[in-house]
Amino acid sequence: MKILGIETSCDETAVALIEGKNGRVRELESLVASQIDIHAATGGVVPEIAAREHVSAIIPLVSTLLGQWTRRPKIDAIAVTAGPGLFSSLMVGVETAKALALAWNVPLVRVNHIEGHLYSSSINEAKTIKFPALALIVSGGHTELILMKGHGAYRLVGRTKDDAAGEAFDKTAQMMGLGYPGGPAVAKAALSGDPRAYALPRPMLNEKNFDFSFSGLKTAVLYTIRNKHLAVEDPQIAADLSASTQTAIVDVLVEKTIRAAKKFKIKTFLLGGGVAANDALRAALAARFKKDLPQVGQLVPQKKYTTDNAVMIAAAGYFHAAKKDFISPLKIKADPNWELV
Amino acid sequence: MNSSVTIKSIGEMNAFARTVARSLKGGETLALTGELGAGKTAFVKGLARALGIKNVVQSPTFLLMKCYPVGKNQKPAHQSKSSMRGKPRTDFHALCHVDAYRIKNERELLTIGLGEHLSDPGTVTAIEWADLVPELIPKNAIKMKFEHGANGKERLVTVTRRA
Repeated sequence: MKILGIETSCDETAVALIEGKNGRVRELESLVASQIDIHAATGGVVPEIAAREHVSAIIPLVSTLLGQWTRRPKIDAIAVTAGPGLFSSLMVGVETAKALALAWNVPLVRVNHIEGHLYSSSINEAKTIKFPALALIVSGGHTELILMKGHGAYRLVGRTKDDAAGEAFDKTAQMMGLGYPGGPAVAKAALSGDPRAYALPRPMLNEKNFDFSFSGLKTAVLYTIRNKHLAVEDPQIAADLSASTQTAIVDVLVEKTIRAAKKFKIKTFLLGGGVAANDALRAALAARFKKDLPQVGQLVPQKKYTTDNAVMIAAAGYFHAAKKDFISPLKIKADPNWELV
Repeated sequence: MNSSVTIKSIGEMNAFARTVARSLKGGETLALTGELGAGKTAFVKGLARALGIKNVVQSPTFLLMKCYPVGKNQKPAHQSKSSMRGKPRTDFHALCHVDAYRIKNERELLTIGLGEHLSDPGTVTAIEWADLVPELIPKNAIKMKFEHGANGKERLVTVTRRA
């Protein structure tokens, strides 16, 4: 089954074609028109600029994608991100998918962006997802632990009470003058830093639920800089503070994940979202699963699938399409506040 | 009209938010200023709770704006008979939580529909980093300045209402 995926929820305009078969998905082609350079200049995503860029990029991307084959591949379904995200950006993808579905007479699948991240680790992976499965989704806007009883059967078991983990990276990076996006900047600086240089809190670690909180950590970093009069322009100080911050974030993410994995007796663990590219997080999760839960299968996304992309949207779309879970092109709407669970 | 409060805990922040919630009729704009970690989001969380919003109010930095329904269907959190007397007014139907932290140009917030919320008499709009979008803030907005206090726990909030 061939699925065309379209993703325009935030930074990236992306289209992809995948082949799905027997619960496995394989990328055939993927194109991304990244706006990250534009946003670096403005220090973040600017919705008006983002939407305008999506409009000018989307059709050329689709035609370039399909032009790679001499005979246009037979598409079995179109999957598009309908939310959450910026309304003006989402609309570009949804309207495009709608028009293509009607013009080609191909069924349409509505995909939640978080669902895309959830399936990002299944792309090009030989292992299939065994249930119950637990997904840790960590990005700039989300930090969630989602339990899956089956494909499409989601239950939220934990989430951030305030800031997302990616936001904690972004905001502390800004305090240290490290630039945007903050995650890679902090991770890079942390490589030459001492994670024990500064004592930072591990928020919510002692609470018995699976929720997160990163707002207090952000404030703790601010007070550390202020009270110790840290010269963050000094690369070694920035490196030490980055390493300490990163370790605090990773410790909490890993600990809560392992606790939830034990409680729900999961068979597969899935990692997804922009922060899933963080090497310290990947290494810490792998080490803890190996030590505490070696029987659990781990699916970790290839790094290229951790940023927003259309392959993951097509992948999630495949699992919907396999169950014939389609939506009428006349009914689909962009929903900026769509909560998966 | 100026007033200042010193807040020593998250409990006091929630109590302060309840007082503010009781004074709201709908249509107000709360212009929140103050640096990272000064308590702006914590206040809006408390406000949402006081208004009976059950959704977990997360930082809107990434999505820029999140709106929550306020209505009769929504029971105030921790509802009990004794707390009913102090029940805030919920004449309005939505609380919109906006974050201008990443905004460089006022118009960007208008493209995602902020203008409609600001002019809706049934919506209360709380805008974090209001100082970054001065032209969007109505003249009769309630200004709330959040500052870090003497130690890691304390926050100062200065509220300015037009007389």
